[in-house]
Amino acid sequence: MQKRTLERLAPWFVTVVMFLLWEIICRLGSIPEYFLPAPTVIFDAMLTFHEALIEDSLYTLLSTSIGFGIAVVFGLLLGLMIGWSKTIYRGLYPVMVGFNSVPKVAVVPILVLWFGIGIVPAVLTAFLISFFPIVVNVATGLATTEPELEDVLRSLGASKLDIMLKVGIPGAMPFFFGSLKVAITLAFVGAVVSETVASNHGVGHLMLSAQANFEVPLVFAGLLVLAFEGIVMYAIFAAIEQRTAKWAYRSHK
Amino acid sequence: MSYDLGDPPVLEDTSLQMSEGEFVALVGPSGCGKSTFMKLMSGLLKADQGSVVVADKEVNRPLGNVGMAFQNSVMLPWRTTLNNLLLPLEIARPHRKAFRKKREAHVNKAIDLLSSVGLKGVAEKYPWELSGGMRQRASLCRALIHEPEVLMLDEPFGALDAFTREELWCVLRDLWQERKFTVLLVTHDLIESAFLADRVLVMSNRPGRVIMELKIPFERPRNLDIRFEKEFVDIVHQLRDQIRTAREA
Repeated sequence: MQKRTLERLAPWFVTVVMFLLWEIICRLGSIPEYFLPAPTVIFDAMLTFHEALIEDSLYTLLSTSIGFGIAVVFGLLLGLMIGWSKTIYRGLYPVMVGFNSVPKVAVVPILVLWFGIGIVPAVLTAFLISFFPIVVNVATGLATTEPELEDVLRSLGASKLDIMLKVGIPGAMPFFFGSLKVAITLAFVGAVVSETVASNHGVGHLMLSAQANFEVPLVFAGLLVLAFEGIVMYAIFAAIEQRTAKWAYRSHK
Repeated sequence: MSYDLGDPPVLEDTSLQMSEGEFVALVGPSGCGKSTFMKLMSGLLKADQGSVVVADKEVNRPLGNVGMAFQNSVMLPWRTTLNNLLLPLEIARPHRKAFRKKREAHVNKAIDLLSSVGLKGVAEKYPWELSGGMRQRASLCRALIHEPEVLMLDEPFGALDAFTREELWCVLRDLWQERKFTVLLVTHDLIESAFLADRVLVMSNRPGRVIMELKIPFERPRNLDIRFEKEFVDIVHQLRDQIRTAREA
């Protein structure tokens, strides 16, 4: 029981200690505010600029969600296709790896060129950066179908579609939901990167303008807000993962 | 039949004739191609030479109405035991068409079948909540639920402890006695083969060939104690000698 409570408190403890250390180092080392502001200074800036911070983080959240939504649909479909046929897998994989290897920052200017400054580049960047892990995980999930199970089904006269529907897809679900928590944080990164390069809204834009005005505490406030949002979204999808594929976590009870 | 998969071939000139309702066991040293032979028989693999004929028709795709069970029970972990059992009925013809309509009847049948192998009240449990022996029983039930004409068993009792194994031998014996399906049992347990089968085939090392065929003369239903009678022991000895020569060859 005691060990349980300890386990539960550990993340809070680590976070608090981290902020305390940060504060102490800033105070004792008298590090200037424009170099590394202490947490208290950052929290102060958060209070002062809370309206802008909330508005911009909601904007970022919106572009992240749309981009992520497209990535889920597209990634799932592509993953199923790749898992379905070896030929499709062979054909698409190199291209996809190539796409994934291109740094997304480099793509943003092109997107701006095509769609202008606004929400579209941020959505598309979020999508581009987050669909790959979904595709790979769904395809891997399908590939891990037990061959003996396939034999059982084929000996019953099952078609390829039957096997996919009865065994492949349900078996791939833990992989799929597992990939979502990675994908959502990546989508978030994509949206912010795009906002930083070219946008009039969003946390990325806010941080860039704060930097231009030498409002260093606000820059850090933006970073903390991003980290917080990232943790929340990760937690949401981790919880969804646990719920939807309970059978896959049976040993972790 | 032959089945080539590089050098040496897995199977060479292997043939087997089975009549309806017969219980045949296939024994041999490990890696001799017993499982491959079983897969060829059920149409999961295609022979490089030769053919499989069932009811005067050549088999060129998976047979369709076969029940299979393996050493590993391969249940779907996201389905309850009951829903695992219903899987063959969702897929095999002619059941799949009327599956939804007859669901209730199927469920009752599945529960009856489960209790006939000593699994009462586990229908709503998930496979991973069952013990190995229970899972294996359930897997046997799944192989039988759609009343297949042919049952293919690939070392279904291999991973069980001795007591559970003996118990399941009797379960299989009784089920067979009742329904008289055709069984091909792949095993490396000679006592198991002699206890259950009408006929035991011994296979050689790779490339696999049938090197001996032995009719088991004992009357059915057989009692577990038959294992300690002299004639039974003699038969097992005979099989063992064959396998030893096969392994050395």
